Amino acid sequence: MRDSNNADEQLSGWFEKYGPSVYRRARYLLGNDDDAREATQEVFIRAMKAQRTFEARAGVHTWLYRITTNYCLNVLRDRKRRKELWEENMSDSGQAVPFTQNVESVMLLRRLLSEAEAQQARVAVYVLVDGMSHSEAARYMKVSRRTVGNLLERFKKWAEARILEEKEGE
Amino acid sequence: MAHRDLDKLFSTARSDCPSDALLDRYHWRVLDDELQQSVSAHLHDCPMCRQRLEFREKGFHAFDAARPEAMLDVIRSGLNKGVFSTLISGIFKTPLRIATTAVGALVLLVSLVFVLYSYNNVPGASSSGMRSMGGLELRVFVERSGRVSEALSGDEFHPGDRLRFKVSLPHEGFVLVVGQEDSGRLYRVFPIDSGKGERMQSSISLLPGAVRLDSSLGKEKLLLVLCSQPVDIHMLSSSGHSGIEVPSGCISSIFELNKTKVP
Repeated sequence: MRDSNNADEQLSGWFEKYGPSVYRRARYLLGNDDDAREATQEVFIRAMKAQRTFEARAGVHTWLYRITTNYCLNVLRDRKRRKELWEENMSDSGQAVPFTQNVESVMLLRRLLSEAEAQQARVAVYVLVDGMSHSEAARYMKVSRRTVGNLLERFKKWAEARILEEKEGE
Repeated sequence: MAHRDLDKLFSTARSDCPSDALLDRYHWRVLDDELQQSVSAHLHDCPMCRQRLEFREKGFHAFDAARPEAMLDVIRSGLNKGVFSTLISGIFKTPLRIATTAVGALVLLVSLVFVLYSYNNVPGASSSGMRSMGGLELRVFVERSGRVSEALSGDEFHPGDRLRFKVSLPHEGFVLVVGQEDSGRLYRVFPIDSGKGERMQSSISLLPGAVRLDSSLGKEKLLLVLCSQPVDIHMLSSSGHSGIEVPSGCISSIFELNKTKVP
């Protein structure tokens, strides 16, 4: 039973240390506590199940960041399919929406992320949402800095066109 | 909207502020000394980032609705299969254990064949509409007032309860979970965005997504259906209060909910 006890200790340790960060990130990207809890649970289940294949060099936090980003982007895409994105309830606690943003811009962000191409959406989260430098994002995405720049440029062009298209449709 | 407006729109901090990831790593003290000092210097001059750091220092206490203990319960429950695998792998560490295990497995296999043979000879037994003896199982976890616990078929549930499901599948196939209201009406539970069954491997899996019980009261049923062919909710027929008929070639497992008012 020692193996399972060790695994449980590791889970508790990781959860206490990294859990709030995973939760905060999921809550911001998904917009409510129910989905953030769901995401945190799924991220840790996936992480604990896949820990043998995890690259120790990258660091646990980098690895969890990556799983959380991918999971949340998938949820946003699923929501898009269910046409629920516009109907979601926004948190009024103020903590889910960072300091410099308003509710409308966060809603717009989620909608764009739900429609964008997967790699472009990831780069947008790392650079535009998290505020990472291109080098930092490149490390998290395991691509070159140049690729980050190209993906970001494509995302921005696409997002501008998408916003314009919407304005014209109003 | 120009590019720079997009930057302003999405960014959670000023461009010269540390990223979320960097601030997290500063908080965990895993940065090298030079970077740790550089972030410290920034924090000294930036009240917004000090606020971001204070938020991190509160951990889960920063979120009223986080319920970390309840989340840990669900994670542990989702990892049960992994623990089982670990125990099995531990058994195979020495040749003696392998031999012991082989004998044990043989005894288990003979017993299983005997049980299956006996079951198949029960008069009137068929795969349709009956709980499989091969291990098809629907387990239900309920989150109520921040606590998660496993519920048993026939237990009392209340409006607002949040349910998650774990399924044990004896073989690969198309999986559908439907609910049946007291009136006999069927509604889909899993997959959440489609009435069609999702193809899954033979396994014990925590299903993605959760459902919240509505305000209606009375007896309801949840039915886990596993079919070798694609299955759709429209292929199931409700037989009033007595149950749900599933297509030929499918097996099913029923879980009963007794929905009562919140005490």
